Amino acid sequence: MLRGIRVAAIILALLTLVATGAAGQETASPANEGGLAQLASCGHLLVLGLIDESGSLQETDPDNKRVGGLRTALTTLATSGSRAGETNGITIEVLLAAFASDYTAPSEWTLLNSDTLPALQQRADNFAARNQGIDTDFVAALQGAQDTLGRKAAEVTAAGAPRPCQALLLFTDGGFDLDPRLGHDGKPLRGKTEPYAPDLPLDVAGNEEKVEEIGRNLICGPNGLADQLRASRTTIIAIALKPKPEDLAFLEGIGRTHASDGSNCGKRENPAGDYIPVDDRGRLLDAFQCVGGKAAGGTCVSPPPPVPPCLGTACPEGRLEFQLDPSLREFSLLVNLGAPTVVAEVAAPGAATSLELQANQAATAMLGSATLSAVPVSPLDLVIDGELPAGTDDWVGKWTVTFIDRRGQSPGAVARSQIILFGGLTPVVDPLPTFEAGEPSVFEIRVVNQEGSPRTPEDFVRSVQVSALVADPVTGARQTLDVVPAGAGRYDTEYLVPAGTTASFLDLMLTLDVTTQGGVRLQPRQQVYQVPVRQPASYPTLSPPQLRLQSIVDEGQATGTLSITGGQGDGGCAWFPGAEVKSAPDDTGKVQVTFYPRAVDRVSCIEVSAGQRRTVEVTATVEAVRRGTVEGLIQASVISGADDSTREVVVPFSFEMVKNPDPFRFWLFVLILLAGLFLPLTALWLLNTYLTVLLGLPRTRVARADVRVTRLRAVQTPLGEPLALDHEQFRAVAAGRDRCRRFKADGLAFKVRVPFWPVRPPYVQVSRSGQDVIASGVPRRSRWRSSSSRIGDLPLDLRGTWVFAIDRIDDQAISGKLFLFVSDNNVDQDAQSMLNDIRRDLPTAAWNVSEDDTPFRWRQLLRRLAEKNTKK
Amino acid sequence: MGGQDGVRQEYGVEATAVRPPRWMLVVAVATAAGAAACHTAVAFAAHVTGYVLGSFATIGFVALFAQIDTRRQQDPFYSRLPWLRTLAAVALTVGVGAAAVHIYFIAWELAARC
Repeated sequence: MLRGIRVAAIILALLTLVATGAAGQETASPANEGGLAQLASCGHLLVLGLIDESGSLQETDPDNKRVGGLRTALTTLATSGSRAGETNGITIEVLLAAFASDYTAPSEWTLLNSDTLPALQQRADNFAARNQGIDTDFVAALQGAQDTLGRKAAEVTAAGAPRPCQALLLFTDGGFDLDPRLGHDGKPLRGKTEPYAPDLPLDVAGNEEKVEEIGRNLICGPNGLADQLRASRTTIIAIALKPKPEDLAFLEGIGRTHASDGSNCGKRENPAGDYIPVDDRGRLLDAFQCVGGKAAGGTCVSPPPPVPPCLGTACPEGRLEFQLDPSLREFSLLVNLGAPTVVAEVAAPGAATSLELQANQAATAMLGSATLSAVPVSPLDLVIDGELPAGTDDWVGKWTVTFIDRRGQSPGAVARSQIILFGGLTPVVDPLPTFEAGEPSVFEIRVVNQEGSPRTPEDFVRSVQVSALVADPVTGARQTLDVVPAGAGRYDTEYLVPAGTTASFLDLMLTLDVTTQGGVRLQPRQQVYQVPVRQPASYPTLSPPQLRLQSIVDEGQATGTLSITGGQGDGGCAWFPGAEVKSAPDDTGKVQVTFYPRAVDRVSCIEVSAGQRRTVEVTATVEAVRRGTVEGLIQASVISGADDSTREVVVPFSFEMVKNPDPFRFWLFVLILLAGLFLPLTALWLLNTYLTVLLGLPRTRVARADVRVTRLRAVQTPLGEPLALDHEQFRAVAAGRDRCRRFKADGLAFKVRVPFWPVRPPYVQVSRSGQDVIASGVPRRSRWRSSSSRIGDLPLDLRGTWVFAIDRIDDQAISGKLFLFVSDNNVDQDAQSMLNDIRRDLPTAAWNVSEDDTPFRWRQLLRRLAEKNTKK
Repeated sequence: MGGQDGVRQEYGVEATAVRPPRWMLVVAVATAAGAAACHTAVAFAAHVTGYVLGSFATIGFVALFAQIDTRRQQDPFYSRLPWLRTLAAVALTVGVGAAAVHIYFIAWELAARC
């Protein structure tokens, strides 16, 4: 039975392989040409991984396959991306960010290589817990991404380096989704408006759809967020897990500009990105590997059907094959072993031995001349990177991966794989052709391998096509050139530069389109050259041909320098009639470009002699700094030094703007919040402080007695007799005083205090200068105010309380003065009752204070020392 | 008014028991409840109303209650109702809590509008 299943699987696999070509079929669409095709040629690539963290992931991705996918993409980029560029390789920096209702970037930009990969994979693991967010707000996500990328690009260019390429890897599930702020009973939970739809609170049923629509327009409308990202040369690659049917076109448009249903997301087609929908979360790792591979310049090949691992020893039915030809330089293979006991045996055509790879095990080995490195990305998934040297061809041919269950413990397992191929050939023009207005330019295109050596692809690939296109950045005109093979990897072409060309440079785009011997159409390899358009020799020349001004961060101006070099003869002169802004973020307002020296007409023309070089400071000022890129054209006029004739020259310019969240609004929010909380409490406290007074003092009487509190817990007179008080000892506490806030009597200071929290009753604080006081009455933290022991809290009428002011502490007793406050209409009864309380409570309180209060002991010691000195 | 109810005879003189100003506390409880109820409304004005009720109104009436009650306690015929203090604390906590939530939204809106 089992054998029958295997045979059926083999037949199915063979049929699929036949249907898709020997090693599958390239899945990239022609729209991928441009952005993705150019990424591999970048010297410096910024990759922002923007991962959905909405709560819906708990349903759509309960086992966190996206985390494995993210690890796969990082591994693919790290292992293949480091060699994705030309001979010098490519620098890749990565940042992982999350979004739901807001955008969060929990980490910093990190250089991606094999050393930093483990740390980045660990960061990716943290996304497993990020599935609690509400909403899937793409406006917040893309605005955050735009800001992060712009800020990093500004940082790179500020250091003098060329502008880096940018890639945004966007993962989401579902689609644009704002949750209504309504409870289960339909009542509003809380009010919230999005900044881009302030008049539509989300706690009103039905508003969320309207806000979502506004958000989609903000992203996909004219010069919307998608276009602004593309304007800043960001390639967007979107992966959508189980996309909502109504958002299919929206998500596809974000990646590819043009959706399959004919709708568009923005207008800009370059740099072209991609969109990968995934309906089965089991294929998420494949999708992420595809994205990582594409960002590194690879071609994602449709995966072959799964195979059952061989039981015990290698067998044909557990084997997958792929064909490599000399046009390649690298491959990246994602294998899923299907079970922990299954191993993958990789065999190369030129190698005598094979490489056995196990689950969760990293490995590096040579197979023939090829270098293989395997990195685990999940318990059963491995990314195997194969580096194919340019000098030898022994790796060319059929490679096999055989899945074997050595112990036969997982008979039902199914193993899968997916491969990404990296082309090794690049079209180049060296030296750059000379473009002069009105003159033809004949030049040669060569195809070279990763070492820069010329190759003749016709010898070893199924088909090859070299194309060339010239684009005018000022007029937008594009002209495809006729490219003629000239043998041995050389191609000839010719371009007639239009006489009326005013652009300071033209874009020369070379594209190499290769279909491998196995039938895989590799991702086209594109090289773009900015070729300066030379003016006739007698005219001054402007440089650079394209002016990139320094970025504006939060405020200030964008500045740069243009050089004017005098032509032959008498040199000539140049001036700048003005500048035209082609695109800018919304609400930027007027963009003003000024020049110093101020040469705006023929009268103020900047004179240059033959070969002389003069500089002009260019300054761009915006009315309001917003996030995004400003692009425009500087109009220049140059006068020939030979015949005084004038030519128009247009120099494209651009600069980035980065805007921090408005600190004014944030602090205003905090200020209003704090004021709103504390203002009423403060007002009430002030009112209470004004109104609260000592009450009924004329009807309060006090008695004073010197007492000793012994170690045996007895309260005695100084003569050692039991403490007793009679009616005669009580007198008025503050004769003639009523409704006052403070008074002094018998060395004690009484003062009304009002707590800030209005529920707590006001109280009287009693203190005695330089001496410690124990009081009954209103407790604040405990019955005994022993923490500082300098003050006591009493009720406003003082009645029914006592105060003990400590004079002296020795080993045998604590001596001090005791004050008893009673009501004048019940003196004897109150006094007797309080004496009972005092006998019970005072000893414990007094000795606690004397033993625990260290500062008090220090003060006693200092006082004794002072007394001794006085006696001496 | 409100503080004198119940009559007793002592020393041959008719004396009236003095009680805490309960009506003030009733108003404080009502304003606190009103502040909490304003959370069911969406409009900005509801947040402002809720804030004023929960903060100034509730705190004001509770503070007034505490002041008058403290003075009445000096009266020999004062009749203490201990649970009123607990009720005052509850009203104040509910009022201030509701006001804090309202002021959050008010601050959010005002900052966004500036």
